[in-house]
Amino acid sequence: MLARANGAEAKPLGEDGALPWATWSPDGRQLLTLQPRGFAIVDLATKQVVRSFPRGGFYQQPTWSPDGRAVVGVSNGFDTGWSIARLELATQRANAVSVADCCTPDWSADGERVVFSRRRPHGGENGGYGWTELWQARPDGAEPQLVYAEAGRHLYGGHVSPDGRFVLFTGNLREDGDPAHQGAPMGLVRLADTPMIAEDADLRRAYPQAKSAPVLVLPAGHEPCWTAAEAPGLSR
Amino acid sequence: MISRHPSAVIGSGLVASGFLLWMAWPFSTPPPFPANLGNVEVVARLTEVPAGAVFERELYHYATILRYEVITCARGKVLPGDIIYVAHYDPWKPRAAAADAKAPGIGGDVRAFVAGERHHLALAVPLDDHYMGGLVDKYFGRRPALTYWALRTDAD
Repeated sequence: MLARANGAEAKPLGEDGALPWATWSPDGRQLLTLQPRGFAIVDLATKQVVRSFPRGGFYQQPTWSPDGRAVVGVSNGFDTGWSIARLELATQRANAVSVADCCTPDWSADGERVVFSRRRPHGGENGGYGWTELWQARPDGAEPQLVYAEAGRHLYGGHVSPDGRFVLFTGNLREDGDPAHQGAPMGLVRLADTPMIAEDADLRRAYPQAKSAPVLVLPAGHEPCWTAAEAPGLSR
Repeated sequence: MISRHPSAVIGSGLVASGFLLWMAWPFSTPPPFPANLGNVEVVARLTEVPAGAVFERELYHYATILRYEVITCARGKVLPGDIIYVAHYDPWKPRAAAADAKAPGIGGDVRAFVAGERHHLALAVPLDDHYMGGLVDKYFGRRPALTYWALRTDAD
């Protein structure tokens, strides 16, 4: 579907399931899609595939980089089943960003960081599954760092604000995203406050240097995205 | 000097050939799968089940890579003695109960993966054409890139 940011003028771009995992090109003229047979770049005006190439183990949640040169997504090509990896579009070379159980990656606006959800090795909490935390790293995997963690809630769908000061995310109480399709409360943190945790004894032991800082709790949502403009009517 | 009659030699040869055929019989004659079930069909021995390769997980489905030694090949470019790496979806489940929306069309009568057992396998390559999901690969970095997708896994 394609719609205005306020939900108006929604219209399908193709048949049901035609453009899975579509992600915008930086100039908004193309979509990159991911299907079993590979990636395809589709021209939005003509709906024609202008380039296709093997997906090399990437299997969900691709996101085009701000400079248009790379994609991050979830890959099964790096030892663990749910790795975050970066694919250079020119060379089709891929590198791991994080090989713990990870998902929902996205870029900072300057392309210097990737924010993603990461499941920390744990001591059996949550029925043995543990909880998912927000992390960031450089696109080559260097400098991995906790952004924010809570005990008792999964943090998914991290998205950095256009000015790079904030991270928006979803907080799921249940496993597997949003199984009831009802969304969960979103949250907002300042990157300057990170790494941070919601105070908890186990988390404090895991991250003794983390800050304890405020989280702005927002209404329910699922995999939120920040608009390019800071407020309606303002240019970027 | 002892010489043998030609008919005795022929008879001995027939006996030996028959013995070899009898030995090979159990390995080579499982009822064939439908010819359109994947593009490779083999009988192969599961050489091992690495620690951590198979675990029960209700959420976040996965496929695991297991190592096989090919015994016979009915279809596809695989030779007896070849080592192949096969991805099995949700390997902790009996094959007959493993199929779902992410992995439709898989099945078989194997209930659990046991090292040393022989399987009659219908396989498809390349893996990316058939499966988009998490993968547990205990051979990561130590095996060829070619991975087979298990469509049907029967005990042999």
